[in-house]
Amino acid sequence: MISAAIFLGACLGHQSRVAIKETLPNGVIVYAQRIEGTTQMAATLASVSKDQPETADSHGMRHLLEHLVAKGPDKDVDKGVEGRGMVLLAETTRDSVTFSLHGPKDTASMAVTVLGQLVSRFDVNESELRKEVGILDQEMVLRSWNLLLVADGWRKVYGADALDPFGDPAKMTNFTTEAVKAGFQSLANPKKLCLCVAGDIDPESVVQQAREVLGGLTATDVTPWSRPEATDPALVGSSDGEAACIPVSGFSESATLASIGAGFGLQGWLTGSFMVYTPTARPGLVTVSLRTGRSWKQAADRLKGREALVARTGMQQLKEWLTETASDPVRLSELSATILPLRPGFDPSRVSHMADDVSEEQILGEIRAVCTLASGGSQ
Amino acid sequence: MISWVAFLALASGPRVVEVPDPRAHTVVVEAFVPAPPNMSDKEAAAWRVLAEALYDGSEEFSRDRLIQYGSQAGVPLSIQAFTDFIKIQVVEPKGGLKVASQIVESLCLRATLTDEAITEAVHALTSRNPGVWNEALDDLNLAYDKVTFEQVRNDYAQAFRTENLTLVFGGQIESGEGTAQVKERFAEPSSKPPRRTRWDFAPRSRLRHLAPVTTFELRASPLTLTQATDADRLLAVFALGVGKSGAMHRVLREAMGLTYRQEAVLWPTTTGWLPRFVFARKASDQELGLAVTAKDALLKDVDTWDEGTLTRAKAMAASSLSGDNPLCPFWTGSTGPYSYSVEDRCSWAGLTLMMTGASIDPATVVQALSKGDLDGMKMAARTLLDQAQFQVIPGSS
Repeated sequence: MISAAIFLGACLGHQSRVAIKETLPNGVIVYAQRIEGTTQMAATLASVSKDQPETADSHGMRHLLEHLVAKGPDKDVDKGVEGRGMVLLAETTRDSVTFSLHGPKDTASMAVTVLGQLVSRFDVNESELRKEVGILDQEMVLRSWNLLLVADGWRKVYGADALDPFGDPAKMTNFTTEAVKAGFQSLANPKKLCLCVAGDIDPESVVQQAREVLGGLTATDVTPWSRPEATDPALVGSSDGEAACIPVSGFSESATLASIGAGFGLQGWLTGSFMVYTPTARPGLVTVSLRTGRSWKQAADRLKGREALVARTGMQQLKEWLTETASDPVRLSELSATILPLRPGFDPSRVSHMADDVSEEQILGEIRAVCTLASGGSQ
Repeated sequence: MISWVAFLALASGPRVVEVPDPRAHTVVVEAFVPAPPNMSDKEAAAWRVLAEALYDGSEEFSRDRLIQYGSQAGVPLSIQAFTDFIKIQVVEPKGGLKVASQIVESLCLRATLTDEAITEAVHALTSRNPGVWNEALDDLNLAYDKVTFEQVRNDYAQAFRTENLTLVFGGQIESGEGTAQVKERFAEPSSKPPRRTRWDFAPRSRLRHLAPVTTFELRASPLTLTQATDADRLLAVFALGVGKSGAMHRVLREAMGLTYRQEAVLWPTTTGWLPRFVFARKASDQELGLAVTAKDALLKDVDTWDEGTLTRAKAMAASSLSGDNPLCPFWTGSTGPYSYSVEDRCSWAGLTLMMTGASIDPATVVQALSKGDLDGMKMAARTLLDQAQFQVIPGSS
């Protein structure tokens, strides 16, 4: 039985699209969108953390599960998909764990089947668990300086409970196989799952297949949790650099898009800077990091009198980013899968028009706020 | 349908390729500029500084104007230095071919390169932390602070000459529009360059990562995709190092638990794509000989390859060359691998033209690979590994 279905037909720019959004009886959200003319298909299955975030005891569990689940129930998922020219990628953010298959457009059916298998069965033994924690330990040292600054920014803006989703491999060694298996049951709870498929595909057949593959999963209740809003921007620094951190609301809010635009503009005008924003329906953070040797005070001086030009650059890059996201199956499927479970009214087929909700004035306001903060309130 | 038209616009002028795409909403103009030959380490440092200093602008475009005009399509101006060439890329909204061509022409022929710009570029490069992986790929140990203003300007005069350029015009353009821009802007031969001044340099000290990570690399000789043996070699690269069923991932990560990141990269140079098999590992005092251990393990794995390995290599190559594979090993810029974006398709066309004198359609490469067989691929893999040079960059303790 279909509990909710929306059929969307729209002509956006040069591409005509047809999209279907459906919530299965067990709670899984399925979204499929045709992007005509693309050679590629992308399918993303997200498990969105609707309930209580990680605690000190469970810190890193979702990241570890991401590694283990991505191998597939029989540990051979990559062999099959790569033989068809597909690639499986996985990622853990503060609010979701995603598994994405990218490949030629005729592989959508296989992608849905494979993603369904990932959340249908799981097992892990002691040696597999220890080996994977060792690999996470190897991954940890590869993290870039600006991502470490972003983690500092989250703690400063949202408080010490805003744990970095990477986790701590030293603490992960305490996880038991039973705890990890229980973690899988929570991750694979249909009420947290969202499957999004985009590309030159047939949305109806994708949704039909999703019903068969994901409709049989058993749901358990979740206790909803929401991240409290933060309002004050902050600067954080380390021996590697300094970052301006702008707290934002959920992804689709126009104020959030203005902050993202400000981040793009600042990145465009400040040599060697990096803007980071992870889309989420919850309150989030836009950070712009500067490497050691550049301070935000110097940056604000450099931008003095140029703020309107920076805002224009930011607006242009925001528009391009949204346009590319709307036409790129990978970006669209990943974005939709992480936003829809927490904001069911979000319409992915509107992404390319979202910049219409933002003005250059709003972006300029955000840039001025950052510059004022960087100058110690003197601008 | 996208057409690929490569030709010499003028007898002594730049090499030119057009990549028109009527579906694109932007236009792209790129220039590829080979470095003066046989650069020493110190000269290579000046080459990097030159690329960075170009952001300061030209006689017609100040730094601010470059940012303004260069990002109108929402894609910032990009100037990237590689070991032996520089790539300049300008993306404009459709209808912006003239502006994009003007910016590229101005940067290529009339960059200002003031003392302040060069000093600023040195500062930017010395304070940059590109991360372990990019450090490994860009494995030059360069003393930027010893670079002189004269060196940078001399390099510019030597290299940035119309006859040295490879130009790409792509995106929302009509066929022939790129040629017209070349005739209008790049027809004049550059004046005779000053005598090339060679610079002495201090012996190279050992490169070390800023982070506590050691990178290990096996590096083979370049592929041009034009030789009879290149199909087998390319398939071997995919079987060894591309994807999570590639030998590097299966053996070095899954079986041996040595690494988190390991992959094959095809790194662009003026003479072809350099196969590089790279893995990164937390620095330790147990790493001596690890590169040899890894090579031996990979050689042993080659013996186990079957028809499934060949099928997978062909499929991964086909999706990579179609621009549909995020793990594609071909790097067309310093920020990541080839994709189906109009910018990357332009870069592919320009790079292959610069490397071989003829732009290569990726579809023809896929076609050539489809005829490869298992024995040829296995033999090529063994040869790649046997002849590869080791490059180990230790991590900081």
